[in-house]
Amino acid sequence: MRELNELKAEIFRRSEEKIKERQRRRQRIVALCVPLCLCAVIVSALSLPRLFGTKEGDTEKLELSADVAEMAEINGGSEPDAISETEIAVAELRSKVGDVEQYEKITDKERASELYGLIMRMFRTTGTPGDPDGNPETQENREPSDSVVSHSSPAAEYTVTFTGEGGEKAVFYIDGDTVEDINGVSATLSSEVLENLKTALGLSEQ
Amino acid sequence: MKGSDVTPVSGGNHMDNGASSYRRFLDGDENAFDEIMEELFYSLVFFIDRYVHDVHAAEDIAVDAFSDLIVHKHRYNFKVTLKTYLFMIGRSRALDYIKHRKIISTEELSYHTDIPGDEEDLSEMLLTDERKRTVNGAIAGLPRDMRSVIHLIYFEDMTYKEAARVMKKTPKQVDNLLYRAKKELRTILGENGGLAL
Repeated sequence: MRELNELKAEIFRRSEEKIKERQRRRQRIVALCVPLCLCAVIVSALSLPRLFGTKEGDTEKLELSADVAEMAEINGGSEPDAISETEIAVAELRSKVGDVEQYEKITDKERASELYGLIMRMFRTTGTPGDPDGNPETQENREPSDSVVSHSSPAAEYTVTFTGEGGEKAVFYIDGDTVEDINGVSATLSSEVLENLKTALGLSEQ
Repeated sequence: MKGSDVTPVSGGNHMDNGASSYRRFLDGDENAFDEIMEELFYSLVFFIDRYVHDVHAAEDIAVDAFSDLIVHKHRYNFKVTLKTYLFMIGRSRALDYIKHRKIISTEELSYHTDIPGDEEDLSEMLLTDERKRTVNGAIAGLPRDMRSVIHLIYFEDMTYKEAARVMKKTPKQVDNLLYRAKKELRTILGENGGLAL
C-alpha cells in the first residue's frame, strides 16, 4: 500500500490528465462540428434556390393544367372517345335549314347510346383526321366558341350533342355528307350510310 | 438490526462523511482534500477489494474515483454523503474492472496472485475490533452482494438507505440481503467455532 501523499499526488496527476483529455475531446468535437456546420450551410444555400425554382415550375404547371382544363371545358370534353356508349344519357339534335331551327331531345338512354355508337363506328371505319383533302370549307366550318351548342357551325345542317351521365359532352356536326366532331376530325359518308344515320336520328322524315 | 454497537471503521465519523470538507475544497481549501483522503480513501480501497480481490487494483480504482472528484467538481450534488457518493463510484468502477478482467486472458490472473500481504495489512489497519476481523474472515465465503451489504452496514457503518444507494437496490432489498447474509454467516461462524452475530 502506498502512502497517502503518494496517492494524493497520483490522484492530482490523473485528474490533470483527465482534464487535458477532456479539453482535447472538446477541441476535436469543435474542429469536427465547425466544418460540418459550414457544409450544412453551403448545401442548404445551394439547394434552397433549387427548391424555390421547382416550386415556381410547379405553379407554372398548375397554371398550364388549369388552362388545359379550361380549354377542355370550352371544348365540352369533345374528344370522340371521351364518353363510352353506356354512359350516354341524353342526345340533343339541332337542325338549321335556312332560317328554320328545330330542336329535339332524346332522353331514352338506350336510343341515345345507340346513336352515339353508330356515329363512333362511322368515324372508325370512314373517318379521316382533320381535313384530308385540305378542303377549305371544312376548316371554315370549325369555329371556336365558349359553349358547346354555339360550336355549331352556321353552315352545318345538323348539330348532334351527346351528354354523358357525368355531364361530359360530345358534339358532332353533319353537313351534307360530312360528319365532323368538335376537334375537326371528319368523316365523309356514302349516301347510303348517311341515309342510315339520318334515319337513326329520325331526320329522314324532316 | 443495524449494528449500533459497531464502532466506525476508519478516520472517525466526524462531520458529515466528507461533505463539508469537500465544500471547503471547492472553496479553495487544499487541506480539505487531505482530510477527505484520510477519512475515506482506505475504506474505499477496502470496499473495492471486496469486489476485485486485488488490493493494488482496488487502490488504482480508488485513485480513479478520487480523481473524478477533482475533474467533475460539480457532479456531486451533496444530496448524499460524500462517502456514499465515492462508494457508488467505487462499486461501479469495480464492476467495470471485473467485466474487463473477464475479457482479457488468464495471464493477468497469474500476475496478481502474489500479493496476500497487502490485503492483510489493509484489514489490520482498518479493523481494530477482533469481532470485526472474525466477521471479515468469514464473509469471504459469501456471495458478492451479501459480502457488500455486510461490509457497508457493519464495517462502514452506513444506514440501509445509504447502502441501498451504493448497491443500487431498495432499502427493503438491502434488509432482505442482510438477513440472509447474517443467516449464512451464523452457519459459517458456528462451523468455525467463531463468534455468533
